[in-house]
Amino acid sequence: MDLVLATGIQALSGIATLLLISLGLAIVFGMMRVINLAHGEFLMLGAYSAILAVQAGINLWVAMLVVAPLCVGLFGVVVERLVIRRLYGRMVDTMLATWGLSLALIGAVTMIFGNTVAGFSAPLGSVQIGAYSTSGYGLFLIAATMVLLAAVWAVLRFTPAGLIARGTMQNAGMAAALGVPTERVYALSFAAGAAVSGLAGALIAPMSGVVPTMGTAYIARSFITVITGGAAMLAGTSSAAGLLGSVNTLGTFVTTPVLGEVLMLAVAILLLRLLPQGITGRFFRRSL
Amino acid sequence: MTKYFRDGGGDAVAVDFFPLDVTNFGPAIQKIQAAKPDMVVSALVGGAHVSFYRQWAAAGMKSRIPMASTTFGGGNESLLLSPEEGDGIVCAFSYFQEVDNAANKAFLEKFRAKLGANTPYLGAELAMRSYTGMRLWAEGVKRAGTTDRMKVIEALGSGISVDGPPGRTMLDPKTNHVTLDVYVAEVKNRGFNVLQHFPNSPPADTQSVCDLQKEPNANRQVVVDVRI
Repeated sequence: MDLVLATGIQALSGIATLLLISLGLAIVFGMMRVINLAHGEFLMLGAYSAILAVQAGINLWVAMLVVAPLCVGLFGVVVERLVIRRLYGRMVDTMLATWGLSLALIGAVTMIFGNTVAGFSAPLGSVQIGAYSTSGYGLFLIAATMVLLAAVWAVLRFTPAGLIARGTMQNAGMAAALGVPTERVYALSFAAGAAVSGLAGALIAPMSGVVPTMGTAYIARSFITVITGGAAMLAGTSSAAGLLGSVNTLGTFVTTPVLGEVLMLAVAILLLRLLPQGITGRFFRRSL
Repeated sequence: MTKYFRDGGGDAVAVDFFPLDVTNFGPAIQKIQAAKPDMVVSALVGGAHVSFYRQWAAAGMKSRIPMASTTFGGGNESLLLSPEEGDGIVCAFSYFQEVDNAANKAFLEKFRAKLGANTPYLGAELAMRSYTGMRLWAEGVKRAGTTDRMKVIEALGSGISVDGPPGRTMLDPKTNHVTLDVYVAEVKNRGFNVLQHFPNSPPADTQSVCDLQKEPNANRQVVVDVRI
């Protein structure tokens, strides 16, 4: 029994991590069709902001939940204004520019802070489940991901700002004709995506190796999740994260970590072969 | 590692390999909890794999199963972890900044005097080995009396050594590897606490399969037999 429960928690934790690291990318890609190759570095910046804030004596929770999304969100505003705005509708150019941005960010952070930064350990201790013990922070991460997902959904579904954002996403020309300042909507969407990435980076910081190149370990995974998810950014990303996360975790349990990764990629490739538009190209089409 | 465990009278309960970008070690940690080994030996490398040590500590495993590593510290991993995550991991390298001998003390003093406030933490062997390698070459040049490539190579093959902060490093002409001192240390407060010192450890595994004096122009790949 405790084995089933502990394994279930690991699977949930795998799904939550995948969802958390992909959500910011999903917002930017889903709203604006901008492929942000610097997404991994946004996560890294979130982790660094949290760590530096903690080192400066700020409370750990404030650092993770407030400082990191704020810093990376503001950085997103700057990036949107300087780079992304000039390249709307030019997908390949945007990819090239954001890839350059990602390299520049890795270089800049290495130059300023060096290759190492003294991280903080995960709060909340450990939880005993029968013969197994798991980290309390891991459980918090699952809950935080669900709250974040619900919050993004609620904003998009129930607030006027969400309505305007969705309208702009569906038909920017029509929205502009109705007097919506689409440029500002895009800028805010990009900043929101960056802020969510920053928050995600800060939340995974106590459970991962925070180094300037840490984004590279996450970027491929988050892209696979978002692309497999398809057009509907929330339903797509969460269903893809649910599927790929559980395949990865259970595959790792039953076989080896190497095969666990291979299985996850194989499922993603198979899915995209069968459903080229992603999961939400066929299912949950009308969802967000 | 399995071979050395068995040679030492132990056994490996299970061996797992991880792709370099794996960041979620939850399943691995749970497998270890189920197998209940007496100790865990990690050969993980890279930034992503640092996640293992953090998730291990977060799951409360640090006080239950001791850990050793042949790689931890080589990339200054100890600086990334907080003391409660890192302290107690046992590592082995041919140098740690904390090695206690006169040569190391004198070296560190000069190093600090030169770099002042910007002095980096040297940690485990990587930086020191590059420095020692350079000094071995310089020794070869001195003996050859010239920087001519072939003459320096011949001089390097004539059995040279340098004394430095890690102890004595001797170039072994049979393998082009070095005989050096090895230290065992435990992680302590983002640094290391040296526990044991093994002077003059030869590159025994390579010597068992390679002899460049007999075969100076050997160009095949040799594999150390670790079958058990």
